Amino acid sequence: MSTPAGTNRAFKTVYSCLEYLAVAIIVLIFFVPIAWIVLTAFKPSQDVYTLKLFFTPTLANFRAIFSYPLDFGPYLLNSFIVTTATLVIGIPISLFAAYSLSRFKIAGKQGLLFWILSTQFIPPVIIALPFFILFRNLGLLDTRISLIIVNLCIIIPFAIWLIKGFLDGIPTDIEEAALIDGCSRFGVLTRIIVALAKPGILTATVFCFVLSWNEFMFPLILSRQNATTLPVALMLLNAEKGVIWEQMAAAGIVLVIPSVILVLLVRKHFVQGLTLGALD
Amino acid sequence: MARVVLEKVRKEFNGAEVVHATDLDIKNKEFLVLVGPSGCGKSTTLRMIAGLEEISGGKLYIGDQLVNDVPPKDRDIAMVFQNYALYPHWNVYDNMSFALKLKKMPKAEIYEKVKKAVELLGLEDLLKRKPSQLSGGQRQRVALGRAIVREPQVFLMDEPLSNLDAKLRVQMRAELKKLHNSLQTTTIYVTHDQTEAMTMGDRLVVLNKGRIQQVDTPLLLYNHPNNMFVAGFIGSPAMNFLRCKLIKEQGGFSLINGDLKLNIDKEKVTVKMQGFIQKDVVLGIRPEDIVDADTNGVLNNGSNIVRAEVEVMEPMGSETFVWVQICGRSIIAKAPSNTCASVGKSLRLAVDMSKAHLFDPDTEENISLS
Repeated sequence: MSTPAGTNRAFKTVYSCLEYLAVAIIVLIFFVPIAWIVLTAFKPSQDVYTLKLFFTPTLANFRAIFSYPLDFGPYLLNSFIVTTATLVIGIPISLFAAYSLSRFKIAGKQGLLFWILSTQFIPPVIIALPFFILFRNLGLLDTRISLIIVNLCIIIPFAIWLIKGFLDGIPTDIEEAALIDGCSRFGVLTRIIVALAKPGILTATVFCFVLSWNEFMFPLILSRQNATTLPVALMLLNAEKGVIWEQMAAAGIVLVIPSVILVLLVRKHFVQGLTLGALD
Repeated sequence: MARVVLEKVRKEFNGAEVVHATDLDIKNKEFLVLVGPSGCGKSTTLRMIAGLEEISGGKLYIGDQLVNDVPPKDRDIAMVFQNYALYPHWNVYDNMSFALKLKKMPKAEIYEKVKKAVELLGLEDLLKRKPSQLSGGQRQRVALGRAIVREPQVFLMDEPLSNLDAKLRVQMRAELKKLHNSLQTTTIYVTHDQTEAMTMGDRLVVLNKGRIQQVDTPLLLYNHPNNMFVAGFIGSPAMNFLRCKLIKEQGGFSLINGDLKLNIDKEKVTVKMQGFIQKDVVLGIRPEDIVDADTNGVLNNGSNIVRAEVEVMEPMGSETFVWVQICGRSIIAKAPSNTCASVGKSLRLAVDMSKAHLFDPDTEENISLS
């Protein structure tokens, strides 16, 4: 006969088992496509349509996508240049904007904030045509600059809101102490705020990286050959004979790797506390 | 070290005046305390001196320089904040040396200065620690150290002890005072705690609703308050107030409220009081001036004896505060710790009218000051 405490314990065990089960199912759902891609990328072409888990792995697919006629190297480079430039320009701009919006008295601040946010409400496809015409008139079609500009439009509003949220949580007296210690406003931002808001800035950077790196529609519309990025280039593998899955998978891995590395690098900062015990 | 002068300094927030035109002359080497209830404008005044708040009107001088438009970093001041405001990402040494690094001082010199401050504050073993690894008291010392190494003209302290526990607060109070004695730097100190203000300040500025009520030494404030606000704010437990009628008889002036009659000493009568004959006034008397008559030989023979029922007794160890009902008001009196008073019983109290204050009930001004 079980005591009430025993029943309770049994219930807890069942409950935690169910919890694990639920987590396992979710992980499986997310993991299976990735596992499929990884397996496919290393499969020789004759094994692609089989469900074999054991096969002789090959790097032929990776070699194929980086050599003639596919030649994904330049597309990968485009992706890198466009995303890096977007982040290098966009994150500092967003930080400055977020800091101003968080700290200073600005006439119509609420309206301004809403306006920045409202740019995110518009479905991108609606502004695709105006952007196309704009860049055509400027002679910037099929250039990386046009893609960088578009990406900045996408990430800056998002990054401003994200970083501002973090800055709002940083007590102002630390900044005031720095102002009195001899810092200029700019010094406060670079020496104090950047360090304290690091988790926020890195979070914004990762999200913006993903947004910019995976952006598909605008590069598709605004580039033809010279500025084509990797996500768009993947379409080349949808050839006349059908989709070349093994090469598509290899290219997919190449596309995913930078995101994975970046997230692994900054992971610990996500959990770091904001004020680090400066106040209690 | 410098003099700080405020000339008609005002502060407005969205059209509302939170600090009214304030004149204040803080002498070189002085320890001046701004004290008042929350929202009285004391912190705002300090922040204007620091340059963290813009000045809406008037002139502010530090040394002989007009600093209205000088940014905080160029005012040669150091500030200690209530929340310490240490840089959480740096260790103690980096926190303390930051200002000197910004001044581009040679490293060896920075090291010497920090070392000196560290020894003064007993922080030798903590230099490599980050703020999160320090206790409240240690953080406060680091914040002080950060101010000291600067050797500024003026120290500004915004409720620096209010986040510490009671025991540590008393200890730090004495240490701050010692520090001021040895450094002799002009210090402006903000607190809402009147005990802290009384014990630390060379002079006190009592503020209420954005206006200076009185500027004086602690004892002058205590013994000669300008108005009811100062009288009630300074001193713990607070001064008792009782509305009475001022009458003039052949024997002299008296106060009457129902059965209560208190005679005013002849030498206490002022010209201002003449205008209040047959009118209401507010009697202000401190708890220590209402005593258990049976234990006080001098006052026991006087004429101002009141009988009242004891409501609550608060033994403090060295003395006992006795709450009694007089004329429908709760009044605090002071009795020795061995008093025979007990709750519910009647107690004979002697009122020392030579220490009493009379206030105008409308303007709250002290009319018994000559």
